[in-house]
Amino acid sequence: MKQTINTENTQSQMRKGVLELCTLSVLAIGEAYPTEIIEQLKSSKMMIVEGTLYPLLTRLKNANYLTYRWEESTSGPPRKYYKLTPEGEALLKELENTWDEMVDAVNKLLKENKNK
Amino acid sequence: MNKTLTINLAGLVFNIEENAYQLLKDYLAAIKNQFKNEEGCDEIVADIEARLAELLKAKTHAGKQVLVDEDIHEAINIMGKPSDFEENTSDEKQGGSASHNQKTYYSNKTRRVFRDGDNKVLGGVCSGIASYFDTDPLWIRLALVVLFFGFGSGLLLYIILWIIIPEAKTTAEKLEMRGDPIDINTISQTIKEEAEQLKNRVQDFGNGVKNEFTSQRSQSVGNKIGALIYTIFHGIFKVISKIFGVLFVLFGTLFFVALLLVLFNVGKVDGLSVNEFLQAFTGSDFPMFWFKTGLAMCVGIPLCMIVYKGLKLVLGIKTSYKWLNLSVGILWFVGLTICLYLSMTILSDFSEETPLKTQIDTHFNNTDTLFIKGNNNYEKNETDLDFTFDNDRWLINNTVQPSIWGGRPRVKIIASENDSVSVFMRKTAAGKQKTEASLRAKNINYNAAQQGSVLLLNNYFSFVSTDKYRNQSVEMLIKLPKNKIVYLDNSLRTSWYDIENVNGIGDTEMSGKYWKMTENGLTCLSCTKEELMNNKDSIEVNGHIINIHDSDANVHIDKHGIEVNSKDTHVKISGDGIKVDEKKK
Repeated sequence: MKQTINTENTQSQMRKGVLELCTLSVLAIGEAYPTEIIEQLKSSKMMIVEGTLYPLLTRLKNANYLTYRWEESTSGPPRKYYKLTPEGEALLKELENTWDEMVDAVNKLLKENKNK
Repeated sequence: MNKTLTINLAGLVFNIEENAYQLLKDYLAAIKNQFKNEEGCDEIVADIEARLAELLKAKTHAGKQVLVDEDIHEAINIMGKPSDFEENTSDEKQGGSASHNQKTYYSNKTRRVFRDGDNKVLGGVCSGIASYFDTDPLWIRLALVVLFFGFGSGLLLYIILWIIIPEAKTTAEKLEMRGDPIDINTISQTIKEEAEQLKNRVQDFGNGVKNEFTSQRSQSVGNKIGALIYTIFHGIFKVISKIFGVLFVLFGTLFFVALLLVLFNVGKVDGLSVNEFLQAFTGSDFPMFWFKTGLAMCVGIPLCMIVYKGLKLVLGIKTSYKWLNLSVGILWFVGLTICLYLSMTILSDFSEETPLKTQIDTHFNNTDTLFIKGNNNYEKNETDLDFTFDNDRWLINNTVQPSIWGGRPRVKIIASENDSVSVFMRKTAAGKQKTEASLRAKNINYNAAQQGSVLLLNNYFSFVSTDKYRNQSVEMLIKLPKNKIVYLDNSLRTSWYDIENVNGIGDTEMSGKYWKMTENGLTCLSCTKEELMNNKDSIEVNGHIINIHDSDANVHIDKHGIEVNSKDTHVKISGDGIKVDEKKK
């Protein structure tokens, strides 16, 4: 039982690691409010729980990678629409590069070891 | 039918059931706790609240206006547990404190004791404990029932546990109640984590010290040492407090059972059953029930509180009840007052002591040896209670009603001022007033009589138990003229009391021997060499009198002067001058 918990833990840690990149990527297309971001992340099976996103958005915003504006909603409280700042776009690019390099490296490593 | 509350969540109004409200409140509190060290804490919480409001809004419509447990659970499932929010990046920002924050409501890390209201028979104590230890409540219940027959200690334990263990009311608490079991795995896990934490701290500290040395900021080093010491001692303290908790519970329960044994007249004091022992002091007109009630309160309450504190330490429960402490304090004080008052009424009976002195009519021939013997006026029955109290040995004959107490007299022998043997009897007893005391002394039954050259003494004095035990005693004083020879019979071996003798032989060993009253006191005539050897040299200081003995000389110093007595000389230095006598060989 302990073993499965650890596996889940590793998986969620992996997802959390790239969540930042995915969020930035979603926002690169245009403005979005958290629920929209979540839906897109969910549809690509990236998210486990929504709660993870809010602290992330706040941190990115506080670090000047995101800005937001308020918009009234008919179905609930007012929503925060986030969009990337120039710094955010730069960060996205950098992270994308890192990701590509890492995926290549990891894939290569896994393949090599499998063939051994 | 359920009570509902109206809440405002992110500007939206909801009607919510009480249980669901508690659940939501706990959840938000846990989230707040999770991010409390973060810069944008309020903002994150506000965002999450807004999202929750949106989710919950979708759950309500014209046909369903009230939020229930289910809705909250669903919303929480979508949002996730606060422990899932933890980000890898947080380590850099929050350092060591991040690991502490994980201990939130939903982390399920540790299990806590709660009363399980859902599976209760009485208060849910047993089922709660059972889920803490992962067993069937049946076993715990059986154990308590068995303990209940152990003089009710099970009942006491149950009541204390009922008071100190909070009921699991909210879902969060119910989850905590069934949290990770406390077993070898989780314990070793916890220990590992703690060790890791400690290691990190020590490492941090080491690095800190290195850096501090270069930057010369000793203040911060001091702080870090403080924090490190605090962590270490906090850990040690936790372990010690658990150990103390266990000891408290054990000893508290043990003494409490002992108290119950005493109250219910099981066990013996000095060979008497508790009731008989108490009755001896109190008599039958004493409100024994109230005394025992008072005793139960003023001794039992502190014991219960010790068990209570111990259980709290062991189970790590911090809740305390003011009303409990106050009411227990008052009860204890009432018990103490009852005990003190009733004890005082008994003690006042001991305030006056009146000796009753009489001289026994005797005419002993000075030349004959005097035999002092016991007349065996009482033979001990099988059924007699035989006990020692206050250094005196007592017998109680219960075959007659009211029962009769028998005690040993004390017999003392001193030098007489004149040429004849005289025998005095002194009966003593205590009472509230002198008259009461002397009446009691008079009621003591004791006889001494001459029979030829024999002085026959009762082996026991006796009084009726309705007189109550009030320090009754009998002392015989026998005054012997110089050169009188006396034989101390074995039958009174336990009655010889503090008899001074030249040879310094102990009271009981004086029995069965012939003694001669000399100028210096009783001298043994029939003692073996070994007996004398054992007590050869001695220095005795008695008030203003000093006596120095050895095998062939004796020095006596008192206010009249100095007197030296040896085998062949007698020297006396006094106000009359110095007098030296050569003894004839």
